[in-house]
Amino acid sequence: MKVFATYNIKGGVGKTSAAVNLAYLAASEGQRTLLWDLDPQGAATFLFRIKSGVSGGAKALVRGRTGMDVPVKATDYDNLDLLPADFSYRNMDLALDHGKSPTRRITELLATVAADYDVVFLDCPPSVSLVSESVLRATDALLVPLIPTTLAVRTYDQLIDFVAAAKAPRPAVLAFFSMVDRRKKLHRESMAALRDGRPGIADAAIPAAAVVENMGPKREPVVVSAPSSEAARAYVALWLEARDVRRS
Amino acid sequence: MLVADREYVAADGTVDIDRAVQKALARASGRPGKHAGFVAEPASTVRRTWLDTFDWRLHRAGFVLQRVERSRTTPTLRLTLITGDDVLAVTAPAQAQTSARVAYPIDMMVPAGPMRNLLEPVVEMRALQPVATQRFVVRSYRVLNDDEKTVARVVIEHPAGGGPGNVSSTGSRVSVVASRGYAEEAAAAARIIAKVPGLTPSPQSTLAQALSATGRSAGDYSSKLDIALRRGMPTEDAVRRIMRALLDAAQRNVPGVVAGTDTEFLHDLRVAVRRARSTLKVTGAALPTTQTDAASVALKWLGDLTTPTRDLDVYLLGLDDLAAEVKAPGWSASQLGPFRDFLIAAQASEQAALVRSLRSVRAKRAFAAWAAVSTGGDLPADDANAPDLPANAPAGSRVESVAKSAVTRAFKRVIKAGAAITAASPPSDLHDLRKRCKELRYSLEIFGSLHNAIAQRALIDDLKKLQDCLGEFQDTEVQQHAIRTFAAQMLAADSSDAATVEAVMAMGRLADRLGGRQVVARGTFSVLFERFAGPQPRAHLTALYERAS
Repeated sequence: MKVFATYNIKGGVGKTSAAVNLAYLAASEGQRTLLWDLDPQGAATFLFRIKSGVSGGAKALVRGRTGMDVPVKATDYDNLDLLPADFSYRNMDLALDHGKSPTRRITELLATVAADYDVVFLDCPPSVSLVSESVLRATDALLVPLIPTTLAVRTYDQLIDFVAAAKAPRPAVLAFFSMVDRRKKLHRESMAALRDGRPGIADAAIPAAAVVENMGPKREPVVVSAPSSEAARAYVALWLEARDVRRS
Repeated sequence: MLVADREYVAADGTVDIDRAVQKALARASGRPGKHAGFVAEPASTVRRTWLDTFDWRLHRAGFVLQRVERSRTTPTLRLTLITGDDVLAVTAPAQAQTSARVAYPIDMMVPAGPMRNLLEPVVEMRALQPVATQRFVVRSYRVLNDDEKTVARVVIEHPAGGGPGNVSSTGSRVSVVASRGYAEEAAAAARIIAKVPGLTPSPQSTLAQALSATGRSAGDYSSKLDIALRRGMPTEDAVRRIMRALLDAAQRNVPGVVAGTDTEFLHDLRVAVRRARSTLKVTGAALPTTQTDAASVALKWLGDLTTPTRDLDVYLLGLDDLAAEVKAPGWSASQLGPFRDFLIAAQASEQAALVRSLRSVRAKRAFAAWAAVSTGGDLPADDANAPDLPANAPAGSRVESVAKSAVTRAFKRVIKAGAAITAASPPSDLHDLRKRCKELRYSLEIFGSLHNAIAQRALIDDLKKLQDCLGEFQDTEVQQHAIRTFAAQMLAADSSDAATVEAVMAMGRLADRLGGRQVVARGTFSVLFERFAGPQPRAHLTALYERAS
């Protein structure tokens, strides 16, 4: 089982859009895929038309009182299941902190469904917390969306430091540009500046596009609703790069 | 992931299932405790082709594998495994340039990934081939909750035949497929469908239905012998029945051998031939010698005919595992490339020769001689002129007494041959013992239905351990010699090629590894034989002819 996580310290940068589209692409290849919506806002859950809520909340899940497989729901797509968000995930740090070895807990929980899935996506909340540390340990490939602004370099470097300082095992990091507007000089320059001398940045870049914004009202992945759009093609290209990333 | 639920069929062919289902879903829409609505998906035509190995390995393991073809879309493979309430369903695109009408090795049919990982240990070296195919017109309805999320699908499949639009509800099926996590909602939809007038729960699966149209049933071939003999049966009848069953097994495998579908067809053909030879050897006196003599000669010829190809199959099948066992500095299995190419070319040449022989007049006559001994019918032209000698077996001999003496004699011969083996015995003595063991094994198998089943299983288990050890000893011996012969042939054919020289050196490592395995097998032999000559197998032998309580 290979674990991907979409993560950034900042919010609103395209984590959920990437998780939803890449998870769909993995499933469409025949891989049994689970998307765990760890963000209490539940955007991924909403996009798949699934109601948020896990019986017993974060505490029951983290302590193992609710089996990981119990709240899982099928999406409307073959091979793709979702573990829904729950508003109590905002307190997941506390739930983790009460148990033994909190940074290993997500790895342990995922091990209980390892026989059922080939690929897992973790859609993470935007924060630096115990949850993020536990996610880093469980993840093989950390997918980091970056909006190409001057701050992106700083965000990226902070994140690399955060991963480097985390306890082993650490994930491989694949950053990718998100919400890109190639007409903007600033975007083009920021992308060039960030790529300069930094490995681990994907060639694929997700454009800022109405079809991506329309995922909300349409409640389906771009690769389904607009498969020939530039955005959909960019997600396919990103998946082709991401799927072969290995933990070093 | 979707979970298959119950299936319904039309009680009589005149019911308009589509209308009835739509009406029932519409009536329930928006009612308390029911679904919020439903969406009809466009009707489509689907061709389902069920795939399995020739010996039904998927069916026996509980898997159902279908190739699903819809117009203008890539064919998909759908694998389901139902164990109790758990349903595993995996879909994957079929490999490009594969056809639903042809058998393929698993790696050419199923793309690398979870589906292949699930199937490989079950399918092993066998090809996946179409076992039934049927075209359906599919109408499905997505049952929605108030988020417009699909909670279940009601799927109606009409067998299509005689051209587009020719659809009748005879053989149509309705299924309710629950989306995971929505069992309650799906159960509510299933209750609505169950009440549709004219529908009844389906008595058989879609595969069984599609197969019944071809006159076949799942699991109708197995390489295991299952010949129903009964105590008190005249030996002649029993022997003919055994020979007929073995002839049937052999003939069913010939097309697969000729087509080169997979290596197991030849293996099963050889086993049927060897079992038939053993049958004649241990019971031949029960039949006219003109028939048994002709059949024995024919069977020997058929057996010898298949040996060179089978030997090469075995080398190729075991090459990767053997290469993986070699641990030496600088070793790389890729050095064996020219050896693998040599084996593939040699196998292709022997296979072509085998096919020519199997299509020859001599092969037809050999099978006719086998058929004659199976039915007591006419002999092939030459043998029919020979005088028909009376049977040597005493009148009224019954099969169980012949079986008992054959099995006991074979057992004693194993013990005698094994006891004579010492540390100084040459490999040929172990080879002879292996032959005695095979005779005992075949005697046990062909008369299996007369034996106490528990004792039979136990004695075969005892024997199998010894046979595996002797097989390993002899195979490693033969393969070491073969590697030397192949190396000489390769060097003689292309001695200037550096890759060939490197391959020959790598083959030396393989031969060393085989030598090591042979030493281990020789060391294990005495322990295993001592156990086989001990009290437990003898007790199992005695218990063979005790009736099960």
